[in-house]
Amino acid sequence: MLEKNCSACHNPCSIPDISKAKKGINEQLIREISAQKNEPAWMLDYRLKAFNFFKNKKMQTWGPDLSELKFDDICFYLKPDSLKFDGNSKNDSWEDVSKDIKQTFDDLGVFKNEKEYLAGLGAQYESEIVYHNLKKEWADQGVIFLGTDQALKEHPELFKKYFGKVVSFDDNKFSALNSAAWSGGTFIYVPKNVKIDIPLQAYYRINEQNLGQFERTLIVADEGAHVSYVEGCTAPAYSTNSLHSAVVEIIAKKDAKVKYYTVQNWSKNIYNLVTKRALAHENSTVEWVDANIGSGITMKYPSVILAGFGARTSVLSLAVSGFKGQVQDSGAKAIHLASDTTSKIISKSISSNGGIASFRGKVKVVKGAKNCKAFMECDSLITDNLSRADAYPFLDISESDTDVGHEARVSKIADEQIFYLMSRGISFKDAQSLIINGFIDSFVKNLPAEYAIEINRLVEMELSGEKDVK
Amino acid sequence: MLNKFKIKSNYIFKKRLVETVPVFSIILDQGINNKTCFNKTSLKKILKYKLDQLDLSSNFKVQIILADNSSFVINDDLLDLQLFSSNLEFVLNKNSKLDYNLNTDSLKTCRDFCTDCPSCKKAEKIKKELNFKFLGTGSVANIKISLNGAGSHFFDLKTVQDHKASNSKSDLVIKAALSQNSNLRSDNLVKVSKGLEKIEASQINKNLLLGCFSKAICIPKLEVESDDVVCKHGAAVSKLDEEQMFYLQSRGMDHCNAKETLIKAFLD
Repeated sequence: MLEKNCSACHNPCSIPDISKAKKGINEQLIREISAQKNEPAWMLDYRLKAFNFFKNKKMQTWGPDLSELKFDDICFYLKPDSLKFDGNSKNDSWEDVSKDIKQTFDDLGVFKNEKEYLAGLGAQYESEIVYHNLKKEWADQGVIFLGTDQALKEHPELFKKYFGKVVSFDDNKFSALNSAAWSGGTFIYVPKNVKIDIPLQAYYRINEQNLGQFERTLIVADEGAHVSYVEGCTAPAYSTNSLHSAVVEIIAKKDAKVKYYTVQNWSKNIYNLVTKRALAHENSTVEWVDANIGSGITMKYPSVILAGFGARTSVLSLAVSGFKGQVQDSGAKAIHLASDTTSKIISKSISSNGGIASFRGKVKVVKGAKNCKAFMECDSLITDNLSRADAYPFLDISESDTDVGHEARVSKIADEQIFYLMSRGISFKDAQSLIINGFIDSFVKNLPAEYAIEINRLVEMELSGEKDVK
Repeated sequence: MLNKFKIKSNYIFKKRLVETVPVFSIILDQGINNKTCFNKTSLKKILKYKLDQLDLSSNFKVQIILADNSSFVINDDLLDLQLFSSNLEFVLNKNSKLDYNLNTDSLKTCRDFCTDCPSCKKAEKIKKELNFKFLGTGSVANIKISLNGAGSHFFDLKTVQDHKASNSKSDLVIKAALSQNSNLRSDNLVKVSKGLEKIEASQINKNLLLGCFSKAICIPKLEVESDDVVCKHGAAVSKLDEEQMFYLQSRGMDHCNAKETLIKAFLD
């Protein structure tokens, strides 16, 4: 048994010993993963096609420097030794989860949260889902909330109908890598007119160093359905790098409403390269609330394709880059393909202690998509002279009957504000954190109450460098 | 007037190793005895005497260096010379002030929905690369660009506001009215180097899409490496306000006149 400080709870967490798997990725490994999971032939085909694309696709030249990311040093699939789940069992009880893993999630407060305010909970440890449970009242209404592997077995037709339809394997190099090596993740299907009023949650944990976690999440909200989903990510601090490359696909059908919250708090040495995209049909609403606080390098641009008349989306994102070498390259995209669609992208970023926060946003309105409204805002705060803030918005408008706006601002904390608060007897440090809390207020207000306090605390810790202690 | 300021050194025509195109460097200085606050001039006048050295059909770059404490209003009228592609670099030294204006009024425009008119049929690509380098403290640049597009005009605009000295200020305003098939691609970058203080930089990009096939692509970028800065940009794309159109028409203006008036007011 090893003892490491956990990046989320800052207490020593118990970590089970895990048998080492081979490093690097090749066709043989992909066949082995597929065989171990007893997957149908079409999925193996899909994985192999994706792997071929990944091999031939060059690394992108824009954005953060990924030259130190060595695929040959990364372990692409790792099943915890002590995991009872063999791909066929239901893993819907904490009793079946090994004591060590259970302890890890308990330390993070995951277990307590489930009892108090969640409709369902999933937990992924390394490459496999270790726990998945949905409250009975929702299961009775036909809601499906399963690990992605399990969903492929239990609902093959439904799975095949939606899998890879929003993010194809040839979208980018990392979506191809995920499509080839995916394991774990969450599958949610909400039937027609079922409105889940409390959130479902999944928790992702990488405990091993040099590991790649490639979970695949697929959320389908059928006509008139409502669902909110919360995703949390942590890992303990190691000296060598790990990779988290997820693909998230959301399909919101007519009149559906999907809210997706992410609180990413990976440790410093994680490459977080994620592809997230939603397809919004007629009159549906998709909301992303995306907080990027941890990780070494993050590249994440949640996007929404507004394909149906009257579809709406809002993307709220927060990026905190709090140490030298940390790059939060985040943003959002809204593609308006239909008339009367609206999008709102609001991004807040804070750079301090030498961190880099970049915003990349895109609004595209195609010809014929009339009466679209789009707004993109990007606010950056720099707290010292070592840090950097960039903004790269992109507006591509081909329809004249539109109303598109964009605003961006980069500034430091105003001296007058600090002076005012200090003249009222507040210390410099408290004044600074008060102003930062005010800066991210519009973001925090949109989070469920349980997370709002947590986010404020995390941002404060990140900026004060307290997390470096671990 | 050209004689209002001194051209310190004559045009230097040399091929620099780092550049792939020939560079003309011009230093503008008000001179010690010249008390005039503003020197209003146009690029045509600055380049007047050496136009014969320029091969208008090939690529070249003009570097205009504003000496310490100088102040200039420069109107870019290179379009009058049928120079549709140009690459300009302005270097601002200590306390220099530049007002740069570009408008495309000289382009023959036609707003009617005609298909036979030659100016509508002709596809013209207007390419501008503007680089403003702030090397001296206290340097200020106000950049105003009005683009009036019709027919098949394609505006390719690339601007860089490169702040390399403290207390420098830049303000970029781009307004484009795009009718018929006209297109705009506007790539605007604000760059603030490390360790600078009191930098103010702004970019505003407003576009009116008036034609069925007009299109605007705006890529405003901020790259900021100092903390004592206020950098902002705003971009908007929309159509003409129907209420304003209605108001003008209710006062007896016909549709075309009302439209022209609103576009003129927008670009002004």
